[in-house]
Amino acid sequence: MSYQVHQAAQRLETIPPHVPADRVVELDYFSPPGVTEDPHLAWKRLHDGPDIVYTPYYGGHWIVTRADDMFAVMQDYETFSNWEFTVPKRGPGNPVLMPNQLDPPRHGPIRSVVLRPMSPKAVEPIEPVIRKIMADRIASIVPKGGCEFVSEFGGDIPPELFFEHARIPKDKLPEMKRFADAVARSDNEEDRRAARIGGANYMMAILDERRQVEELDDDVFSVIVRAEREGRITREESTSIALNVFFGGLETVSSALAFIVLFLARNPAHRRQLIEDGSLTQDATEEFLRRFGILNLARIATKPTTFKGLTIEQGEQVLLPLHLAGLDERKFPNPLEVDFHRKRAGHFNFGTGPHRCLGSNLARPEIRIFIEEWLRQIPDFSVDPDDKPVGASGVAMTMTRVPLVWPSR
Amino acid sequence: MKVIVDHARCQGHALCMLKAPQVYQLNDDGYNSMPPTEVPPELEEQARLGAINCPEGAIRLDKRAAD
Ligand code: HEM
Ligand code: SF4
Repeated sequence: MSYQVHQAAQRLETIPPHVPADRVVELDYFSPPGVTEDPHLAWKRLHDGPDIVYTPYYGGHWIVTRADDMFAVMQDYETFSNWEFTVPKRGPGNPVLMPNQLDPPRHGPIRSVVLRPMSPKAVEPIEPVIRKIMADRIASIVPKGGCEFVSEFGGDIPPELFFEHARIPKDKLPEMKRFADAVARSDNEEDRRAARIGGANYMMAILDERRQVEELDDDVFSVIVRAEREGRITREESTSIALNVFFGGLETVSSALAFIVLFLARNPAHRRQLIEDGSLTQDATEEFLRRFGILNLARIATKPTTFKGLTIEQGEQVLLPLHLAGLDERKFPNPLEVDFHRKRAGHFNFGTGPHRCLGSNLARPEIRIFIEEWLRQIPDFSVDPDDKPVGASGVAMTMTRVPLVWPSR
Repeated sequence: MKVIVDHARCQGHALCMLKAPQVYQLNDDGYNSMPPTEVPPELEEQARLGAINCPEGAIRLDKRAAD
């Protein structure tokens, strides 16, 4: 199964007249040339061309490639709406994700419902739990002397940690994971839509259980139900928020882990730095987030506008490859180099503007603790010489395969 | 030196606190709501590091000496 198969038929036959010919690139963003070898380098080639380009795929859309321009688009929510935040447009019939698809002024009040349980203060106390789950899972694969990281490790961890964070009973996990996997990995839009709807129904059932609880706690699902009781949000909005916080933290985190473990497998000197100086992992986490950005998000123009001398028509989508912002040499010297001592992080891997990732305070410790626990238990490992890692692009940049080996004990 | 946080710009990235925990703290909602604060000389370097890492450009450093 792969991410590569899409409605290529949606490629525009003719380029709209307002698009200058020298801005047109032939790029299906799910499969830029070279993506299987290295998704980030495949995208990085866009920096050899104009800052803003247009591709006829998926009905035609713009691509903004530089950090400063992405910043401008993400801050100007009046012109560039979040309603269609992925390419191609989802259209009707999909569950709505909140707060992600909302624009100010509706966005803020919905987002504020779940701010507190997603804050650094709320996440800190569950760090030991994250560490225990991580350590146990790694311990279980150590004796094997190797693994295919994505299928045997990376994908399972984020939903388990989220269930822990939201205090959802563990017996609900396998079913929810099945929906999550289908949303992330199915190569067919109909299947993905069905999985989104299935996931939404299942999420409603989980919320229904929480609605029976009289004395609500402070975890993320409890605060959603409390807001509903107080009349601040409707039942539909509850589901939309729950879906957003659950699905938002799955592929994003597992993809980040896959890129990081692959980098560490190939770079023993960087491993040594982290093993010798335990205080480095926090800065290392931030540097990895910069170097290995994940999302290809989008906005939709609410009105005709002029941006950097280009005309963008109402209803046109602008793709924001946030990972390219971290690789923009105008902001980060030697951007391809991984340097744990960089002074400036300031990447957009978690976005910028009102939609800044709600899960970043959970994602960071997940990644940091993963690095710490993995290197503690598997300090010495490499890519399986008889196999090959495989990268992919899409809404999330990811690795579909990371075969690893280590000396078995 | 004074640090001045534009609360309207802050989106709660938490990078200021991660880079300079002795200067920046976040409130219960995860945003930086600190009032304009004088920074002692030994923390100025940290304060600067926090400011250049803020993805929103929400932190301003006022270098005029305190009176
Ligand atoms: C490395 C991991 C992650 C990355 C790279 C990431 C990235 C992002 C980005 C770029 C946005 C902005 C969306 C936009 O501007 O349209 C976002 C929003 C969001 N993320 Fe994350 N995310 C990660 C982990 C998580 C986790 C762990 C959760 C939940 C537990 C989560 C939940 C959300 C939610 C709910 C939003 C919507 C916020 C809003 O619209 O106000 N994310 N994420
Ligand atoms: S880094 Fe900037 S946006 Fe983030 S919490 Fe600090 S002040 Fe706010």
